[in-house]
Amino acid sequence: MISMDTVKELAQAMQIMITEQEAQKVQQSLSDILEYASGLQNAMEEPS
Amino acid sequence: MNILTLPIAVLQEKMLRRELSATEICQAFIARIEEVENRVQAYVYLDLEHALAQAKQVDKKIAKKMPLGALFGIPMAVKAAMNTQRMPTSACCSRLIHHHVTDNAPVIQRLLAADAILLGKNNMDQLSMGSSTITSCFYPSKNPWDLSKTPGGSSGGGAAGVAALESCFALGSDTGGSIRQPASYCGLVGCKPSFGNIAAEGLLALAPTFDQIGPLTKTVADMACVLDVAVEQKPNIAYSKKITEALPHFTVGVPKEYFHAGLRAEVKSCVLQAVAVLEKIGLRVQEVSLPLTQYCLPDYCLLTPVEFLPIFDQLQEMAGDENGDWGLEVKTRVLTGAFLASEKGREKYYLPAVKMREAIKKEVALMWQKVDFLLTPSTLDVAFSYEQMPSGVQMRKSDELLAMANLTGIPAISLPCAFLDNMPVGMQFMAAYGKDDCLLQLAYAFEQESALKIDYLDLL
Repeated sequence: MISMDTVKELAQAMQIMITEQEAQKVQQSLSDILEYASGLQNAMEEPS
Repeated sequence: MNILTLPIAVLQEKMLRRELSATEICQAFIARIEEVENRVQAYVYLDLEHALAQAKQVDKKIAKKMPLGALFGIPMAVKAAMNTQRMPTSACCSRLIHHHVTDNAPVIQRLLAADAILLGKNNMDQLSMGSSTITSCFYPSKNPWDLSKTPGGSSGGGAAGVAALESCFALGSDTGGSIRQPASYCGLVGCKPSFGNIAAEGLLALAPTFDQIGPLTKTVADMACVLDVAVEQKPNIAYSKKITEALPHFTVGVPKEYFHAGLRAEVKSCVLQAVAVLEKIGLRVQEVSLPLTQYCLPDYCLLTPVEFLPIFDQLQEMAGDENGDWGLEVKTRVLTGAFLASEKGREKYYLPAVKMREAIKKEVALMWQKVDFLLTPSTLDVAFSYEQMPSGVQMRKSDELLAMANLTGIPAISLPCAFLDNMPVGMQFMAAYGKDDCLLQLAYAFEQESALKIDYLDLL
């Protein structure tokens, strides 16, 4: 799970204005995508 | 006879015989826009007076027997992310609402030089980020088959407009399925040519190694006519001629991984019925396996946000002091990209995703030693309603069966194969890189044999 602080730091670095509500949604979406992609990550880590 | 439903070749034949003028054709499409646009919302910019002036020029050329371009007198629309001289290129983003450019995108320039008539620019998901047009800063477009449903996205406005007979064809762009998914949802033919076959110059990019411009049409024959002009590297035989040649005894692979539990059972049946049609036209069909299919969409989700980062920097500069804000989807993808490019994200997620793309390319390249084409469903289900719209990863899954063609750069085409709940079902053919002509030939042969009748005039 990506923390809210990380989301806010990223937004600041990218010069994006983001509300608290938006940050929460981004946090959820980003976490969902990373979870969705975890199988890919595991597949590439497995010895071929 | 209704002008709006006639194929490109027939419209042009009638113009040459002076049975119809380019002006009359243009006026018919303008009248249709006036009749249905408030319900469909396919367009965000219209340039109808100029379109009529273009049509009059074509009529003059016909009258004076001057040379005509290959798309003479054919009304078209283009995605709002493509550069046009006369209309803003906002990509349906409030931060870019006043973004004007001085030159047409090269592909649009080629179409105009071929005497096509530009009616306007279509609605889309903001910066091509979305699968429904809901992220447009203007309004969502409506699916002419059922106005409560999405036409798909991101090139949803173009698909809605062609299906509603508000343009003869539309140009869209496809980064992970953004032409083929709306084509599937709206009962149209949508083609993503081989990567680079149509230069992406003049398109507000989403992910430059994925982006591909392509057309949306009502038939494969119309698709071939448009591609004859739009594609830069011309094949030896024009697509519109090639499609009518006898089909060699090709082999079609049906990858079992595309028919997984998430695919609606009735969609699966519809697509598998296409196998009988293919066998009837003399093709060999066999089940094949592409085990990395399950990683295609996750790979797309990890790679494209990182590619978008440098583009976003340019867009921030272009937008300058313009009022408005980036939409939530844009912010999400930028911040996802920023995380994946960071020290934390790069090693763990991004670099494995880069390796996975190479592995997928290898797996697909090997497949062409066994088969000439792949047949899959285009989408997991028919178009969804705005009321029951999925969100997040679930929304992204509407492109699950389409992302592989963008990861590998191969050509792919979606065309209607059946109906479910009075909505069209799309299926997809894919071919090896550069085999666009054979792909169109197969799609045309299938379309002729299946003889699926769609009366677009009846939709609204």
